[in-house]
Amino acid sequence: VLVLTRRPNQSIRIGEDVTITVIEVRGDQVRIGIEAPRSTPVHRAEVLAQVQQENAAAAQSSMRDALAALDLLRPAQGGDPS
Amino acid sequence: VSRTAAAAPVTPPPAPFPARIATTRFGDLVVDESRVLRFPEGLPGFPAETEWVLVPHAADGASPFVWLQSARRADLAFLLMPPALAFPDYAPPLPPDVDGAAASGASLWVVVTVPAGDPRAMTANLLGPIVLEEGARRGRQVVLGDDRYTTRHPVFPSGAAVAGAAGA
Repeated sequence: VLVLTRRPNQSIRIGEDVTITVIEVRGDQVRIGIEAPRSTPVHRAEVLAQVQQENAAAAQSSMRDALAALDLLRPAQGGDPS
Repeated sequence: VSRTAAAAPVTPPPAPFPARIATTRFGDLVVDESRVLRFPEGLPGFPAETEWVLVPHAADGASPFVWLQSARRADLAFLLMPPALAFPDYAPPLPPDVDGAAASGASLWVVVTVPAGDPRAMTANLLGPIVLEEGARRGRQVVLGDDRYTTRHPVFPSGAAVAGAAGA
């Protein structure tokens, strides 16, 4: 891991088109500005990890359970009586 | 000038369309290129899966659910639901580039997780909604930076689902 020390308003360039700037340091929080092309996704790492985990779980949903879920949902929505 | 297409990963060329996929859920599916939805970034956890098709949940079109089936991986599909079905107030702020797409007729979906054998505990991922631009044959899963939402909102709040919910 490359470790750099930066002060507020100082930046780091990554490659040709990503710039990370330290905007403010207050207590144990750091505000960071990120400039990157739209095609470069930028996420909070722990949030992205949650979505990855949930996608892995969601991919296990079976046809049979989905049909059962739909049966539960229909009366709740006041849909067609079956 | 911004160069966005940097070093692309080297992958074997995929089979040409129309492709026949022996899906685990829907049997044999012949996928024509005109039906393929492209997710340029893949989905979180599935970065290589960039080609998907929509499969209706019920043949008669009576189901609000739709399956997002990988056009390449037979066993990979996600059950999608219109969020209004269970979360009428759900209107997350979308990133500006997605918002533009939404204005031009894109649709918003949420991925549903149905635990095996326990449909009452089904949850919806409101943190990572799916935006589909069917006209442009494009889609993406948006990761929201909004801590009102989690990946596991119970669809049936009074059910056993609460035990599995990750926060409020």
